[in-house]
Amino acid sequence: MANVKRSPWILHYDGSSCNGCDIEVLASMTPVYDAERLGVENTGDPMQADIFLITGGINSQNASVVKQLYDQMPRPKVVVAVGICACTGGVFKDAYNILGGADTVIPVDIYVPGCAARPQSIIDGIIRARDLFQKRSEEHDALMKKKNLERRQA
Amino acid sequence: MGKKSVIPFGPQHPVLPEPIHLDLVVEDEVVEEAIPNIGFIHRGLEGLAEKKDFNEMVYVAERTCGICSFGHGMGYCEAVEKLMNVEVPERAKYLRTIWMEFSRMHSHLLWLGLTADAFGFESLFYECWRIREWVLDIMEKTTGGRIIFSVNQVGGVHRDLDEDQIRFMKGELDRIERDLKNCEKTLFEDATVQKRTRGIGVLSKQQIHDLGAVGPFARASGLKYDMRMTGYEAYGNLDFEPVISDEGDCYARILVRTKEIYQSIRLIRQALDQMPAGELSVPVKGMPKGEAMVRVEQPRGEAVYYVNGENTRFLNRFRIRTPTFANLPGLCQMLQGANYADVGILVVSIDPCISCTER
Amino acid sequence: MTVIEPVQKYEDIPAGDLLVTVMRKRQAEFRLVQICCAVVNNQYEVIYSFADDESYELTNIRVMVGLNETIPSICDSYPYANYYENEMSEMFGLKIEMIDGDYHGKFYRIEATEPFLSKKAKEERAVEAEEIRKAAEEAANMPAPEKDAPDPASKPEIKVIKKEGGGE
Repeated sequence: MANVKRSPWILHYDGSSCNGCDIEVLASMTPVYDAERLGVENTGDPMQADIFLITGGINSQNASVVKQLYDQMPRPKVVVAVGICACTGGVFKDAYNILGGADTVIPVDIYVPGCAARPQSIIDGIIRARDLFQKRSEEHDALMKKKNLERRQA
Repeated sequence: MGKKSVIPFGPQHPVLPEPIHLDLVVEDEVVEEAIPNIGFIHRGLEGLAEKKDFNEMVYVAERTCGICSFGHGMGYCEAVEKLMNVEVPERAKYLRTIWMEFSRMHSHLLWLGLTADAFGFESLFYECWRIREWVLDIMEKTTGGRIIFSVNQVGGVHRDLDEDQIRFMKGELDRIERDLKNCEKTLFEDATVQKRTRGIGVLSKQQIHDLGAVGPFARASGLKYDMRMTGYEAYGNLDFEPVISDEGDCYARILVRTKEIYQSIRLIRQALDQMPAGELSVPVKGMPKGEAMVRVEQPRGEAVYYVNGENTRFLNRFRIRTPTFANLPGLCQMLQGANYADVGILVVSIDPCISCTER
Repeated sequence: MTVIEPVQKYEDIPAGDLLVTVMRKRQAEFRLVQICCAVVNNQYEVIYSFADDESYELTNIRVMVGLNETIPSICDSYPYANYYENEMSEMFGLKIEMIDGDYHGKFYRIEATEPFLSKKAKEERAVEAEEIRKAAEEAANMPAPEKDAPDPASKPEIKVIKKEGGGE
């Protein structure tokens, strides 16, 4: 925890959730379960976000919206699926309009199960996401450095 | 004459907790028309009634919406109980009433926080949600869940309250009331709040009646209509009057919902004192056959539950008419002629629960 | 607190009386609560609920509609009924004409077509549609009537009376 160089910002989007996991995500950011003490902040702008928290399953209407939000986020990025509906489709798996969890349209890195997922599990997911984001940033920096060196030598 | 443009509002927007898409036809910063485009949260859960046993369907009905979750579970159980002529024991009725009022309190506190966030008042948002955490602590201690409670079953409830829990509840209610009174002064007298909400989105009593609006949205314009007056569950034994206001603007809606939180605290205290001892549930025999329609007062207004059974384990039709579905025409009416900067606050003032609307 | 006992009643009416009944409810200042559709015995059962906000009384009007029949929209009396009607026509395939603000099946924009209508009901509807089409064709191809009998569709003869006397 002492070696944290960056504070990643979070983008939260509700796919087709019942809203239970969304308010638990918001409750994780507010007093008592404050995740902002870890340095994360909830932003509404996908171009300024590093971690994508997605809740709810994917249906035909929001598949393109989720994909567009994911594409707008700059690399490196981490995706966390919060709640069982985002992991697999949940209790609505057999419904006629649900295609599945979030991994039907975008690659998911961390799965946080629960119905509704508790703030303690969500914060655990955010911490793992932050560590993964740290690792990816370092790999991204190393790659950029290597490419710049090759360009200068060429 | 200015130029007209169509601005898409949503589905992803910092002020919206849920995805709804509105096409706003705007001319010179004044909105002329708003065309809603819904369907992002449509899961088709009414179709699951044909695939799941009517006892299991409670769990699906509860997950229609995370905020009004207890109301949906209770409404579904009441509709099936009316269909099968099942009489729920008195203690179960009081327990359902108490949990329903806690659900109303947490929903209104959530809404107060989101409204404050919609006009940039973040510290008030955090304060309201801090008070709400105590309500959720009570729910977790007594039912096991913070948001989705899962205590309703067809025929009653399956959890009880013991003496320790009742004492804890009464202590916490005092603390919640005290802290909300401190918060109230900022909410009602602050100049920013007044400037952003007074005179915005005014709808008269006749307009509200013609648009078919329900709940605190309608009561803030003077319509005295609260489904709890029909005395379902244990409400018939409790003493209260609907909270109304005459002004019909966003400020009146904040006032009505805050007063309803105090009303809920009083109702819970009455119910805890009057609750009799007894059984928690009765066994349910047979299959659902026929039809039944039940109306319940959710935090957002009147919700209608219709069930239709044909003597099998699976219901033929289960339909919920949620309060936000009835309030959507009111929203479209309010947005006509409004300033573009006020759109966020107007959308939040009807207390939209889009996951309820689209099911 | 005075508890108001809610009264609930059901009325069955034929589809032709729908508009008049709804107009009467509008005159009496009833509020439209909901419109619900279900498929019962290969027919649509549509329930319109109206409530009186003073007495909390609920009146449910039930209309049975065939799978291929069309019913009129009640948007003239209740403008906000268009959301319910759009939803019913998209989910059930119920044919409603003259909706004010018709989304033409794109209200929820789902991929499945008419998900609440079972496969059996869809087949039944196709069979009924075929029968109606055949009956209409037979009526159009009926043989011409006999010469002696007066043809009811022809125009009556106009007798022109010429006036005698000098004209101008």
